[in-house]
Amino acid sequence: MIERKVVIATHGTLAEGFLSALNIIVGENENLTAVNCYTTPDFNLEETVSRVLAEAEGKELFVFTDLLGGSVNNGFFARLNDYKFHLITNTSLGLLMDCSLTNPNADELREKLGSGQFSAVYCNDLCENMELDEDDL
Amino acid sequence: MIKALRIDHRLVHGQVAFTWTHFLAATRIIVIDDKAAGDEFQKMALNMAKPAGVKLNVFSVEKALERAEKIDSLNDTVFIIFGCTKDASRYITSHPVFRELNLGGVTKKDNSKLYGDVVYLNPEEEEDLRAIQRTGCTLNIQQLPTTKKEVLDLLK
Repeated sequence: MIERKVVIATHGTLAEGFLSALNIIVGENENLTAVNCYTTPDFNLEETVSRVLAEAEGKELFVFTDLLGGSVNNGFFARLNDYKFHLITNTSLGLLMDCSLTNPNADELREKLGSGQFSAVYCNDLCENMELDEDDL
Repeated sequence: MIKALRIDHRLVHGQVAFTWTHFLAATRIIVIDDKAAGDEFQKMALNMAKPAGVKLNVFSVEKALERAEKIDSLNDTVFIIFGCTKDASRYITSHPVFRELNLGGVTKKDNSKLYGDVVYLNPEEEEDLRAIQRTGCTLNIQQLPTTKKEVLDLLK
């Protein structure tokens, strides 16, 4: 089985906060990494995304971000067409806890997110299902 | 009507899609950026990032100029986003009807100077912005509606 890697990436220190909460409730998990974005003035999103993807080389990577439409999610979304990983956004603590405990594969994750129990979005499916607005002007 | 114009290298992202769009009560976002307009995947990503209920167009400078009069007279409250100073300058100098341009984010380059928040300008970009100023359009640097607005005058 391919080794899994889970990255939580957010604006500010929310990622670290999620990790802190997970450590308390579920316990420590060495496959889980927090990436705080924009916490320094010279933060570079593209470099950070590339580093996260490079560090997960050969592993099955799940990236959880905070906000659909936010730049952190946009930054990862932009790499979905050249790198194979799972991107989930509008992440909640409940979803992270559930995933830490059940280690879902892509299909199970899709099922969880489709159930309505979590408000999160599996971005990979947006790539396939999105129809562009017509140029109405 | 056009409510606001902004240069932001991240185009549609959290600050734009949520905070500014809400503050301006914008009902349509028009991205004018040659690079994004020519990239189907990026257009899809922008469409994903747009706020619910807000219309989005992604135009090249040329295509936007063809539609400039129409854009100006839309019933929507329009928020125009440029990805770079060059495309902003090409649009505004060819269609010089705007009074104010907000600088949200211009990415850091090797030979660029920091002007405030995350606005880094190299000599070429300064020249683009001077050309915009010469049309009678003032420049300001403001990251969010709640942060202080600073006027930038490059013709001084």
